[in-house]
Amino acid sequence: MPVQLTALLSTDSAPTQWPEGLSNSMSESGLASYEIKESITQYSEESFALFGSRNNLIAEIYEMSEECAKENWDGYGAVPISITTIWNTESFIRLLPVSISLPEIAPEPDGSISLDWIPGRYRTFSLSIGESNQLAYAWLEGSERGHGVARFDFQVIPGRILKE
Amino acid sequence: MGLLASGLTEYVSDDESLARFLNSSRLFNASGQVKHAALLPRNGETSVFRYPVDAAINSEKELWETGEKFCPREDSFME
Repeated sequence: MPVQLTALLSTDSAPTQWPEGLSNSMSESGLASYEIKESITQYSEESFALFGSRNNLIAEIYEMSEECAKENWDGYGAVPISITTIWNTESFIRLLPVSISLPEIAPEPDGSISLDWIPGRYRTFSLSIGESNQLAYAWLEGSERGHGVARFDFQVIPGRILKE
Repeated sequence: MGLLASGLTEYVSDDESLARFLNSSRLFNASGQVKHAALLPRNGETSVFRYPVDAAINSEKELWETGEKFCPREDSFME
């Protein structure tokens, strides 16, 4: 679930429920200080949740790759997932904007890793990451569909992919 | 219509069904649905079992036996 981080430090609005021991007789500076502390706490908790889930996904990639490290891991001659593919996928995930939900992952028979966003039956986006810097992607939205290949420089997510 | 080396017809007919045995739980999502990566071709090809829809062989038990014979692995899943 996307988390809005930008508004967390705002002190424009007063808390609607006062914690025990506090009242609305607090001075203006005390109120601002309280709100900032609250915001920082909330920010810290949400940051932990956010990067925690990202780290969990990366850990899942390593686990999956271990299971798919041998030739023919699927019984149909699949190529093992290489360490380069793992690193490329990890780089991509770490660069994903926080506003984008994390994808599901799956191993592909050619040794690539598939990143899938499937918000609905008729709305999906799938991206394939392998050893090269070429990212093959495909999307479906209602009756419209498309696919393409974008170059990944390991510094930023290709704009074409973010746009899709 | 040509025949394959197996003796089956080149194209899958309407009275046939397809099965593929999956050896990795990673090919299923949390709700148990198969991910598309499970059926992706490699070098333009993917392998499936073909079986007649209405024949006696169309039993889950026999399908499992076939899968265990040709794709042996303890944690196989059939879709």
